[in-house]
Amino acid sequence: MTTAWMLSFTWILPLLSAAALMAFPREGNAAARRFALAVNGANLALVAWLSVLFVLDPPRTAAGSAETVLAFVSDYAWFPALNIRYHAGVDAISMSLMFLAAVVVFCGTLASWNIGSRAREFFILLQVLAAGVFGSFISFDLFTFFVFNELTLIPTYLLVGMFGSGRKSYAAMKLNLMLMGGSALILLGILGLYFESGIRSFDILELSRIRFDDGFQLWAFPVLFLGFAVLGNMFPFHIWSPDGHASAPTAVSMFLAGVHMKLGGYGCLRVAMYLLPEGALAWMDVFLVLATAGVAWGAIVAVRQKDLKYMNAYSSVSHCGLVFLGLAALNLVGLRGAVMQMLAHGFITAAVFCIIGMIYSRTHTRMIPEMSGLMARMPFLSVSFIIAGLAALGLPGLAGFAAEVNVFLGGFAAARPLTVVCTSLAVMSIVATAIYVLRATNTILHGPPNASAQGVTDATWLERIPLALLLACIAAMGLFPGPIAHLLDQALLPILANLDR
Amino acid sequence: MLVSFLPDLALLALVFLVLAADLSGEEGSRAYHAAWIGLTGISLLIIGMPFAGSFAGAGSGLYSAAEVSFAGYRTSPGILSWKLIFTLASLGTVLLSRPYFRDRGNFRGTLSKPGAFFALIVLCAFGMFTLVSARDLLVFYLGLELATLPLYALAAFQTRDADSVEAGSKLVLMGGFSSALTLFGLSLLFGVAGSLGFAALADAVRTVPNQPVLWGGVFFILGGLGFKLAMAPFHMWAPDVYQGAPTPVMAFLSVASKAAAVAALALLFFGPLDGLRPVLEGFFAAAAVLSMAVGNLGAMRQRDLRRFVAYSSVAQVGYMLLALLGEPAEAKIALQYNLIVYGVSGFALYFIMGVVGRDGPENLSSLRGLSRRSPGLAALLLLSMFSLAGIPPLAGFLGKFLLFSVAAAEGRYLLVGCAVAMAVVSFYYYMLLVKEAYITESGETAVAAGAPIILGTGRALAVWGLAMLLLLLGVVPMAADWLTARAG
Repeated sequence: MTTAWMLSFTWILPLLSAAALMAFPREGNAAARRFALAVNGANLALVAWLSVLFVLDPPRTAAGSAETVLAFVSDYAWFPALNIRYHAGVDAISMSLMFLAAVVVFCGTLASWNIGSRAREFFILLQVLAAGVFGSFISFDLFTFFVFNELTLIPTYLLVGMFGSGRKSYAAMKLNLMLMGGSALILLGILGLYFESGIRSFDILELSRIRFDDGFQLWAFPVLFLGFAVLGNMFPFHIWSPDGHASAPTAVSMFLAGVHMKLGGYGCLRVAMYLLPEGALAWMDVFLVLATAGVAWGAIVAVRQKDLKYMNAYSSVSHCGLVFLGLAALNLVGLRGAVMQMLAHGFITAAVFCIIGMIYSRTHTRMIPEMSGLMARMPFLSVSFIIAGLAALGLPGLAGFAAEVNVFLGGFAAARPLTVVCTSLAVMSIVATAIYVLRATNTILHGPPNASAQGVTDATWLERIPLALLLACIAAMGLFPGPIAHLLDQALLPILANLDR
Repeated sequence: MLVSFLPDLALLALVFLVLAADLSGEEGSRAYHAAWIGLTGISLLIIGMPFAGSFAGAGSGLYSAAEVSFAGYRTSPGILSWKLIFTLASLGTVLLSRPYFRDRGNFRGTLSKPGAFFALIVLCAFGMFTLVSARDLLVFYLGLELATLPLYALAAFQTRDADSVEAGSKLVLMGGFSSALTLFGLSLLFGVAGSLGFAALADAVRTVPNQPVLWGGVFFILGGLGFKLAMAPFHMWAPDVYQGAPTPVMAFLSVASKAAAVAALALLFFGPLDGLRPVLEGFFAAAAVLSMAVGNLGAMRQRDLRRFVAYSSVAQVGYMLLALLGEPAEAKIALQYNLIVYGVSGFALYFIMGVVGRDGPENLSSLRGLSRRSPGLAALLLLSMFSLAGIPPLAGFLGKFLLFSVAAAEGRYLLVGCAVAMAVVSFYYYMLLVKEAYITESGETAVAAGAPIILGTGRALAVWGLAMLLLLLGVVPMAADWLTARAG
């Protein structure tokens, strides 16, 4: 019972802290960021502790059962007239994504230490954003899930618009309109699930027992899947993300690309595929092709980028394509790869955006050709950049490899011609990844130091903490993927059982 | 039985009380106080009125769940919910209009004759009470006229402003025309039913639904009410009238008067004309889509805030028409809830317009830099815009959600798809206001408009109150439960 309360506390705490920050004096920027750090540190500790409890005693799924078993469950009526409930709990997928979210929020807080004016407003918005994401990951009632998911829209718009750089107003509007469009589809799909189920319920676990009419599944599945895929950065609905992520301030880029976007892949798996399996089987070829196109297109476009943030944003398009590729394999290995890819990409992209932000704050440029020889001046940041880059291109021993191997094995194991062809194409895109990662590394880190490297210093201790934490997570996941995969399988089996029925 | 009509009688008495208070008071402050205290009292009276189910002994006489009627006038818990909406909207208008009667209270000039103004508002509210209480065609028409006639004078209240006078005359012409249409339609219905009573009309609709005369009558009534509702394609008057009228009157038009028209539609088509709804579904669906499209696409290019409100309210009508396709009980709750949250979100915006309208014209650029001039007002604007756009967890989301689910329950997913797509469009233009307040800060205007806005205690309380309402109505089911308990 107490653990159930603590799980809900992961979103209540950020929300309360946002309310508390409103009471801070308008000039109390330093106090605001210390307070935000304390709260997010506490929340990270809370999530870490819950994760430990979860790993020690994971909920077991009966063999062949399509029933998702949750830990730390709380279930209260919210709007009884509409049968809307607050049903919170976690399985291995949500728990691991919760951990990712907590780490990235904490690191993002540290990475935004130098926000000067309006830091109070910045952290208020960041806390609301975090609350929305935490709440989404633990909600097993579709209405509540939707509410939490939408709660992220308000702070995202203002964070990018007020604190961003470049064409921030354009980027913020584009990002929010696209996400809002995705949400519109999700809302339509959720209403369909609610009324077509015949039980007027939003509860994911109850709905998973219903076998929806095939005609309904055929139109509802693409609606829901596309709705989430917009958020999950699937080609060709990714167009909001490069502008959005490049314009956002560092912590927000880290959070949007690292965590928020994962809600898309998570929703595709948890809502669209779990509840509408027949629809998934019918439509997956379409999404398989789109996913492959995204993997290849993102990597190719990333090669052409000169702005580090745009390069990483397009690299995200490519890596999120791998998530959808894993989902489209429709087998255990592929689904496991998809979830692991979400985790791996979350840590890696957060680390890369974090480093880019720190480099930019020193060199005042993000353009690759304008930088050279940074390795000599800031060895810590440079080495971190190399590690994160190698993780992104899938070096064994780091997180990206563990995830990508599962995605690709899943694709080949599906043993259908289209899947195999698409997977082969996706494998080849790793070459493009290698090109842009190694070229960027080579250009900005090596060679003679130029004007950009004049008078710059290495990361301070405060800045090393988030990087060390993120890189530790990347390494841990790369070195010990087995236990993680084993845990995830328990949560994926019910989804797979539904797909196989 | 008389007790059941207490709110109506009190409201009627209030009209005369406000006029009388104006005779003796100086500068109209007595009329103001009489009006807002009276309307608050009536709201509390309605909220507190016992109804069957809430008290064990309710059946014993005070008030019962069933309809209580007196000649052509009736009342019931469901009707009282409508009346509460009208009363609260009138109360909001009265409170909002106070500064407009003060010296230098508004950029467009000071309004005069406060006694008449407040009395007209209350009289208008009484007309709305009559409209929803009607149980025959004559009382229905009487209520409709009484709820419309005072608006003509109110729209032209800024007598020295040509725009306002034009708004008044436009409203007279359009309103007169639509009244004539409605009256003609009602007379045709009378011809079909052979009696004025709604009961006889319902019988006639049931027994001989396919009479051309009946359809003629319905056609004219829909046209007439469509004008009042500002439903596309009868919305043409709205942008001009909203722009010309004083801001409090615009608030009254867009919340109270709209609520009355929605209530009239709901009571007719869920009441005596219920049998015709299956045939009219196509019409309602088309009108809903058209209103959403016209309103949302029209609002995108507006720079004047009052015109902006006009188009946005046309769009809101489109969403509300969706409810007419659904089950009566659910639809009424959805409509009432939506009107409440639309009213709260709207009044939050009108309140902000009143504050920035003190020193300049009420257009989009006057909001520029609001987040620095007054963080509280800017936060309220933010909440209000996100609520109007229907983003959870704010009130507006729940309103839209209920409307959409009424249509989805009937399996009309394509229509719901249109509506959610239009909600995305609306998100764009609501965000434009937020952008002005929070993001656009370039150029000299930001410096020129940079003086901080200091809110007095009353206004600061209003900001807090409205912000809390916007949040609570979205997450606490209390208000929805209240309506549900009284539905019927």
